[in-house]
Amino acid sequence: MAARLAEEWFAICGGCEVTILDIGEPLLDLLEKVQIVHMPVLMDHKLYGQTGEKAEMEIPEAEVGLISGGIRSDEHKLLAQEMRRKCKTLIALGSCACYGGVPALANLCSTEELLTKVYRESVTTDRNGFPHEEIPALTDRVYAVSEVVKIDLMLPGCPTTPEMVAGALNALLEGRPFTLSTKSVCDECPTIREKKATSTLRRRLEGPTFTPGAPLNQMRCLMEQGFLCNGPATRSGCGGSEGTPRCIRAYMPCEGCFGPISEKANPMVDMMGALSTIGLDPKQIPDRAATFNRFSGAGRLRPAPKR
Amino acid sequence: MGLAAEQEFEPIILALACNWCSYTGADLAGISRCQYPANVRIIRVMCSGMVHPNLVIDALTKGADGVVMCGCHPGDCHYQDGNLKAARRAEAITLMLQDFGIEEERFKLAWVSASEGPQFAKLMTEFTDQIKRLGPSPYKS
Amino acid sequence: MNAQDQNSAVGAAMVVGGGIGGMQAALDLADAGIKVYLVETKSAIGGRMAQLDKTFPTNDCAMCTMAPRLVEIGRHRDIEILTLSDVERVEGQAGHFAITVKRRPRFVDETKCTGCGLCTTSCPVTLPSEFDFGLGQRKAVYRPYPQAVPNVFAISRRGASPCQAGCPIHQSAQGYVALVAQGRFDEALEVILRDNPIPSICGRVCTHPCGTACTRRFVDDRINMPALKRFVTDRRPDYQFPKPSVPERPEKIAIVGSGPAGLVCAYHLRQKGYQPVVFEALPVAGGMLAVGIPSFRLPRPVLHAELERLSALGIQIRVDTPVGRAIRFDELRRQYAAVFVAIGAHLERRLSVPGDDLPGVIGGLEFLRRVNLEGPQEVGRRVLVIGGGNSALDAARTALRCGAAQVTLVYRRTRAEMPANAREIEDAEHEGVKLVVLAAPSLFQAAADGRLAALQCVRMRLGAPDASGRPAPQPIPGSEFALPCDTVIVSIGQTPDVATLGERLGLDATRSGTLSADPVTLETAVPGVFVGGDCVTGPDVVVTAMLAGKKAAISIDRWLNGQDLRAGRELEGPYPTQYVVDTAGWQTQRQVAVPALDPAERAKSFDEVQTGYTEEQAVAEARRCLSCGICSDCHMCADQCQAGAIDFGMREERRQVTAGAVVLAPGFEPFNPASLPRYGYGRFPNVITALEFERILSASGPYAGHVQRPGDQREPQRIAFIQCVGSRDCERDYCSSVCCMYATKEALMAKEHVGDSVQCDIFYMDLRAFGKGFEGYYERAKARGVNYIRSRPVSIEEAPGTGNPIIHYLGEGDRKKTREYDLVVLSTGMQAPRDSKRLAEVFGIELNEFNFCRTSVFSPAQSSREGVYVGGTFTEPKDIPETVMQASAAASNVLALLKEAKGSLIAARQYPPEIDVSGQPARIGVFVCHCGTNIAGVVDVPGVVEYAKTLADVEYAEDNLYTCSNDAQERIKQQIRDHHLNRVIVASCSPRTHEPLFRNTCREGGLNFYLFEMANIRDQCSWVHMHEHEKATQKAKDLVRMAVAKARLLEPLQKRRVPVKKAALVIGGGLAGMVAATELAAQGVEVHLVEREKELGGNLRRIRYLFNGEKPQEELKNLIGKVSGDRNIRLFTNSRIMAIDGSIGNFKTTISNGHGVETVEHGVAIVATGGSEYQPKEYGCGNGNPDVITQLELESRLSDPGHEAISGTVVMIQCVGSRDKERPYCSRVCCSEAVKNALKIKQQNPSANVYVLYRDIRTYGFREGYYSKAREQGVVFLRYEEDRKPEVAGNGGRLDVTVYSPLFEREILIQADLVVLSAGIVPDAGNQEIAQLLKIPRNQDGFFLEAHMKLRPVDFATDGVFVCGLAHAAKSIDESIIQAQAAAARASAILSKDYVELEGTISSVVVENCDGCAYCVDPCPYKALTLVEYVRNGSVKKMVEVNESLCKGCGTCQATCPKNGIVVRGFKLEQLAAQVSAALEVV
Repeated sequence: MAARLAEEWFAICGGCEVTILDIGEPLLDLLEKVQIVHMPVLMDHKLYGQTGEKAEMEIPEAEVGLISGGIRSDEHKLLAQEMRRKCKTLIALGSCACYGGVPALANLCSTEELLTKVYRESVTTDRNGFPHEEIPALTDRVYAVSEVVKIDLMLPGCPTTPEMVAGALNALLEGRPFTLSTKSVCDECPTIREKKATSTLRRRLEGPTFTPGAPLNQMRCLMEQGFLCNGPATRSGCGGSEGTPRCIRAYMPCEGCFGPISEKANPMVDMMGALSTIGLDPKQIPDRAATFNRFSGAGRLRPAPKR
Repeated sequence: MGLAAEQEFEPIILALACNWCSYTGADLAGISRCQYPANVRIIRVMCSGMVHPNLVIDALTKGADGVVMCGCHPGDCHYQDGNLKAARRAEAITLMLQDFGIEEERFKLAWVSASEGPQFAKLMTEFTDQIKRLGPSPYKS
Repeated sequence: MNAQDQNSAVGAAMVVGGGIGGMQAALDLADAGIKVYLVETKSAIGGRMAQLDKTFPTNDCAMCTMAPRLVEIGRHRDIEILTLSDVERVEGQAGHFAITVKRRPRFVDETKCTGCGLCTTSCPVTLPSEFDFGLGQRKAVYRPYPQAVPNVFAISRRGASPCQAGCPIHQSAQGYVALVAQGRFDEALEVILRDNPIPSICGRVCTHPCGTACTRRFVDDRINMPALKRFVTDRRPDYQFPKPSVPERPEKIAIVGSGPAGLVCAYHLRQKGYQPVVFEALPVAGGMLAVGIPSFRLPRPVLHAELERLSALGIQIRVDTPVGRAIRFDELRRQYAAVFVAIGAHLERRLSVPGDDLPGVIGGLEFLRRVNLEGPQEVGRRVLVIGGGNSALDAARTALRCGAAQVTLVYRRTRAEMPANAREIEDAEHEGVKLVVLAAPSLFQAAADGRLAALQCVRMRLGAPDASGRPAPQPIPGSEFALPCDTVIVSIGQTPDVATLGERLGLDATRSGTLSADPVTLETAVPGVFVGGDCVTGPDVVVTAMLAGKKAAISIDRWLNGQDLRAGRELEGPYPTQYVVDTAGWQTQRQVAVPALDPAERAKSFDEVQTGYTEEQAVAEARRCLSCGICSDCHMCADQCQAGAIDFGMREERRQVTAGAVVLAPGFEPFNPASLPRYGYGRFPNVITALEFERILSASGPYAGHVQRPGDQREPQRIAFIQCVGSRDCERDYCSSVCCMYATKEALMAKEHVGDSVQCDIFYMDLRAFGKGFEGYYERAKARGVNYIRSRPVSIEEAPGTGNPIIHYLGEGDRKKTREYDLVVLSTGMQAPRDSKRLAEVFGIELNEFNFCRTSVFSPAQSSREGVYVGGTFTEPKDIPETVMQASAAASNVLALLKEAKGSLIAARQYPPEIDVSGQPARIGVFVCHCGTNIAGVVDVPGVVEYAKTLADVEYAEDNLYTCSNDAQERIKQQIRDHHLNRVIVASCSPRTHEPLFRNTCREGGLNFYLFEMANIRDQCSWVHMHEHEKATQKAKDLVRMAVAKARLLEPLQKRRVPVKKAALVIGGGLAGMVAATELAAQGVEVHLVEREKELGGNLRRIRYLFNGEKPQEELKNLIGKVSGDRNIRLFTNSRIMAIDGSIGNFKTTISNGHGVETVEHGVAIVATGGSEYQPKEYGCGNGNPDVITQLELESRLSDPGHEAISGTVVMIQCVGSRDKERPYCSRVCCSEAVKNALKIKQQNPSANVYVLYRDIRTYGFREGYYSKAREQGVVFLRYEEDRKPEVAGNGGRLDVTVYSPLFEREILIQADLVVLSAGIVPDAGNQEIAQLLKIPRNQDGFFLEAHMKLRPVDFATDGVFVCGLAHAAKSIDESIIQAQAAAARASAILSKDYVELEGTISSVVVENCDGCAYCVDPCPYKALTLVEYVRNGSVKKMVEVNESLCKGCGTCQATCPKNGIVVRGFKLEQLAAQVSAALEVV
């Protein structure tokens, strides 16, 4: 019997859902093994009953639950709890679900500031009141799903990778363990390390030095070339079976989308410490908090104190 | 916490002191009987350059009201220039405190030589006063 | 000792002098396997460097850099430090010296003192601190500086003060006076009671011989000790004696007589546990005190209180019990274990003048006795008292109080001869007593009624002195006169009642009517019977009787214990002190008068005449004390010291030491500018020496680093430094080498402390910045605004009123100028050590004309006696690095001499097998130290112990009085066994000083060294929160909890051992390389010497002669011969080094000689790649002009035997290729080279003209003498300025040299036949390659950069690699040799071991975390990290790897790693984090 699968999406762009689609051919095999019972992106499943007759939101029971997106509203919170109740195994899909993702950058300011900015101060917006009717109230900040309910497995990445999603689901269905790497992106990065000392950062637009067509293990570490790279503080795995990290393959430094290597890790502090040691003036780094926590702002970003 | 307790705010202050100069200076403060507030807890490290920024940030986000990192004066480092590296990291730490919502006055880098016992006591006294004026850390529940 | 022993060398050496040089030599020797005796004359090692603030040119803190070295020496098992010691005699020969060392007493037991410093808080004696040159103060018990090694205290003690020595019972008068001066009255009383059981009596009636001896009387008046003593006792009338602290003894002792002798004897016996019983014939106790002394001098309540106290102690006093009548003497002897007879002298002398039996004539003693026992007696209206003693005066004054209208004292000599106290006479006169002197009674005249009517007297005159030393009075015939009177009191002396008592007792009497006794022991002919006091001496003062009582008690105790009665008693009783106290300079401050009742009033009553000092008066009087003995003998420190380390019984001792060799490093004596009055030093408070200024600058100095002038503590805004004070003058024709630089440093530091606004002017002749990095430092100082004034300072005067010194000097152009300053610092030079002549005599070595040790250029660390080597400023004034190098060089010489004996006397240490604790849960033992009261006085130690027991994993906790004591070490080991502890925590003092001790204890208990942690609850808790007991206790608990948190995570670590390949590589075959090679070879080491060129010798091949006639080419030939002939040396000439791999202990080097390649293995490498003469292009040199040459070319010409002597005019130009933009350093030797060659020219042809154009003449040290000689011989020295260099024009035979002279302020043209350029020294071109091969740094000038400019001048930061010679910096031949020998010694310390032991607390890679990001690799200061590739699951991965031989554990990598991929063992991030979280736990 096919395993039942439920999927919910919260504060998210929908990219991780596309990733499921991107699994490609293996998806066909996978679909044979699962029965999708709830997935708003695919089907219009009414939460309050088909006629809206129920007082509480309800999701069908499932063996596997997927949640993409962080928690931004009271409704997300309730839905997450409902998913937890109904799903045997709950998976956080993508960095938004795992760490808050890009939406969690909003945690740099208070909800009130956020609303003011969006609905009042934005030049492209008419100065109206805040929306208030029929809309679930925003939470005080963006939460990772694991901050609200227990999560059994995290599949980080922005978006996460098709290979990982398929791998995780297959492992789950076949009763095999599935674990994330505890290594950093550098572990999989083939570039050459010569001398870290860097005093100035270069802009992304400038582009690194490399020989087109030559293997990446002949290119010098992008950080050593002056491009701020989050590799050392970012979990590896984006490269999948091929190994080489995704951004590096594109001659770009790691953005950190796979999030920190461990729950306890503090990528900003770790990177700032390392960068200042090799001689980089820490003041050079623009928008530190957002740069190092671009995908992991839930619980790591907070509004600057009022002085 | 009652009103009386608030008035009697006794901050927890950590001092990370390098073995060769600052920890020796702290000992000299003792030998010279220079008095300073009892709020300071000194942790000995071999070099200020061995202090990972995480140690400071962790302390300040887990209940310390102030952290002071002490090393040898520039040029005096037992390990050539560990203190200068510490200074660069301290700059980074100061910047990051903002990001964590912590007043930057809660962290300080100071040079204390092995012969600066009175100076060590003075530093601790002033820093404790400063922290007392700031009040408890925002991370204290 | 058998013959073989006598011949074989001893594996020990003596190092004399514990300064930085001596320390270096000691460490080098001990590390290489020689046992070292380090002899230091002061109480701690450290020498002059310990007094310095910062050091140039790096501005390092002197103490920061030397403190770890001090600790290292203090702990070194093979270095025995003999402090307070001087060498007295040296016998034997090289290899086997027998040395006698005299050790002065420290009075503190080094093995017991823990250095806690509690003693200083109790010491009442404050004196100027020698360490701070009198600018600060210290106590009599002291440690010169906090970091001192050995870290124990010492007491400055001259011996008993004159007052104490002069007191018969040796009461510590200075002790209680010092305490009174501090207002510590109760402690003063304790001191008094220690020796005196009846002090309130003594404070009133003692004649105070202490005062007679008091040194203050040479200033103004003696200290009024009686009044002070009385004040102290009066304050506490209820004080009690401590109960005897010894077990009770059954013996009863009979004491006959309850006067002072009897009472004191009873007291001392009681204190020893005996049961004394005092028999008194009179109805009252106290003897003469009770019946002889009137109550207005000694109020009876005071006497009774003293007697009560003695009774309370358990002394029985039986009054009305005359021995012989109430109890028979033989009964007494039967019932009592011993008898002391002290019956006094109560029998009155009669006048034997007709009529002395008339009514109205009464004995003085009888009169006083009656008044004392029965109350005031009736006397006539007119009373005469005959006599001049205290008793006569007492009688006279008592008569007044009994109602006499007129009292007259009749005395046969003059007032000056009266035996009574002057004060008593004065008091009596004030009360109305009249004196009739030079009159002797001849007849009592009766009136008609038979009553006394008058006393007929005869006038006397003074004759020749009689037996008592006083002039004998002689009657003047016919001068009789009558004094009408109603009562005559005869008070002319007493004798013991020997007839009625003494004989009955069966004791011998003397002819003068006293009992006879042994003067030392007070024994009599009857065993067990002792006599003393007035009955032996005749009537004497109270304190003499007290001495007798004390002596008797000692004798009786010894007699009862069967001990020798006589031994060691020479110093009982008064004696004059052996030292003289200088009283110059003390300001007059007269004795504070003791308040007394009004004379008219007091004469009517028996109230006490003197009312005594108030507190303020007592303190003021006590402060007058000069502290003659320094230590006041108050013993307060001993009371404080719970370790029992204070030992006043220490005496000077002599120690015999056997050593194979000696290194002398006694240092220097700073010149005392007081001997040059023109500087005003000593007269003007704001003229100080540079060393004094160092102390002022020092954060631990007298002003805590605040710059202020001693005169008025004001911060100076204008500071002048005067150079060459005591150097480069007529008597001292040498340069002290360091003053220019230290003045520059002090000026910079002044700016640092005060701010850049402070004006710093340096008055100098030549600025001698010749050392490595000095020129740049000098330039930086100029840029910072330090002002250099070229001048000759003439004199200093003081501006009236302001205390500002005014300098008069000759400026440029010889113009007289004047400038005013706030502070003047004299840059005082170095002199030979004060006792260099004595040292020379003792060690049999030669000195030079300035009393420095004589050495030669080619044996620069060797004295004139074989086996005696020298280092440091003892041979020539020099800076710290040169001192350190020479000390190492001396060590190298010793190592060669004693190579056979190496390792024979060093201590080996055995440990039990290590317990395997892996996998065990933590079982922590906590040991909390009281440190006497240092911790326990503030922190609730038992509370901390109880708290520790509640912490998780703490298996056991206890407290110790001193955890560092030997018994506590045994306890720790025991508890490790009993409780199966696998972690140990000691909560006590600082790990910096004590961690090694406790780690060692753990290891002896079977635990790994690193399973130990300390909580610093003393230096960083109880001492800094002394008044916050609760908070300090809380903090101590927190610190223990933090230590426990870390201890849980401690792991056993192994000190890694790297086997040492016992061979050395020396790179470079010049002088330095060859010396290093031969030194090592002489020590038995295999050496690979690699020289690029075909021939050995380097630059030395071009040196033809030296100043002092030594022959460099012969020396070179010898040296080459030695190198080629030594089987230990493998020579690679024409060879290049291709690769060097490995690290300390294990290097592999590939050498190519063009034909083949060879790989050699070695444990160390010495870099001696040299340098060369700069090839100038300036002044037309090198353009084929044969008349513009370099100094080396000139030298070759001058030494060519076929060459004609130079005639005509030679111009030498200095600083060519030095001190310019391209090479901004001084080449150090060129000035001396120019002087040398100029002298040679003059020697060959005195009529030749030689001009030297210079910027600063830098003939440092004894080279200065040759500079003077050159000037004497007519060599003209003309200064030019950097921005106006000389110009050379013309060609072919004649050159026109024009130079602008700032002195003459105009251009000068010299027509020269030859221009000689003093070209500088440039580093060898091959240095860069060697630097890369060995991964060692070079400075910006291209010379190699040593590990530390001051203290590690031959080491690199990379262990096992050393540098010497010109590769390091420009230097002279002897300096190159010294450095080469030093490098050999440093290398030898490594090569003499089988293994190099590496610290366990170094970095280690956490393999599962490290991803090879390589952030840590470059920041590593030791290049200990490399990135390596490996294959995991088929793909290539990267990871860092630690070279454990290079890592020093600084933790830069740990702090850099973004993912905890590399940690420092013992200081892991998680261990530190555990401490942090434990600190944050709120309890």
